[in-house]
Amino acid sequence: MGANTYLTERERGILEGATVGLAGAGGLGSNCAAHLVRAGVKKLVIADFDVVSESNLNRQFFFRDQIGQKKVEALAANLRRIEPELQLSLHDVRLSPENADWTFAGCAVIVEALDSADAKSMLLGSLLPMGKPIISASGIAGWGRSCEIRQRRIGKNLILIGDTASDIRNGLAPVSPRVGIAAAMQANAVVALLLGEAL
Amino acid sequence: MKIIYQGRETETSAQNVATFVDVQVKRRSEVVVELNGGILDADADWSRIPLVEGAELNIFQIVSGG
Repeated sequence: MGANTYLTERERGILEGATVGLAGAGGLGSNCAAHLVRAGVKKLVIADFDVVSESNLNRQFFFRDQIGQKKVEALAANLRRIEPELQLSLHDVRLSPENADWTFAGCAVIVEALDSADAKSMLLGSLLPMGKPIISASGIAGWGRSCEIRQRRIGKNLILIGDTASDIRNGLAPVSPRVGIAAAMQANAVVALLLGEAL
Repeated sequence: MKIIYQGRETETSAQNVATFVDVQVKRRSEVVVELNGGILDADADWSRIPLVEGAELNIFQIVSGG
């Protein structure tokens, strides 16, 4: 039995059978992963090179006693507190054009949850040629303006979530509510895609 | 020539995608460009992709934060 007892057996089967990739385990990735696991996804590929720091605790799904731990390992521990029977493939690695495609080769859908614009662009350039759905985020900093965080389909395989403008480089802080909205929308898009619903 | 840019009819003299995009954005590396429903390869030579009457072009900014 999966974590989500509200779904039909068919729906649970689809979500439990799919492998979802998470490129990044920070504000977007850690919160998106928690939503996915609560929704019933059991197979995740998670890639992140960073460690948990105090500044992460304002928005990321980590706890004070995890400061200093590798994010992929800390996130795995937290997700297993929700659902112990997860199949997690953890990659403590900085994603690059050389490793991005094989890291996520087995995934049905990939969530782009990186921080810098350069890294986001690199990942999209590396993964879009694979032809798999990618759920990306752009423009999530600051607070308020919840309804400006939109979901757009671009081309056949890219879903972009955010306002495409609110940039931390412009002095806007990454804060839990807005980052959380975007992460939840990314997870929501993944679930809808896997269950075959139009986005 | 008129194209549909970000959903609006737009007059342009640009004959190719590179010329048009470079006027709109500072860094090509931080945008995703959609032309007639498909995403352009960021590594392609956009100056060799012609803009034609009625083309639908969208530019999406990639900004930092996560």
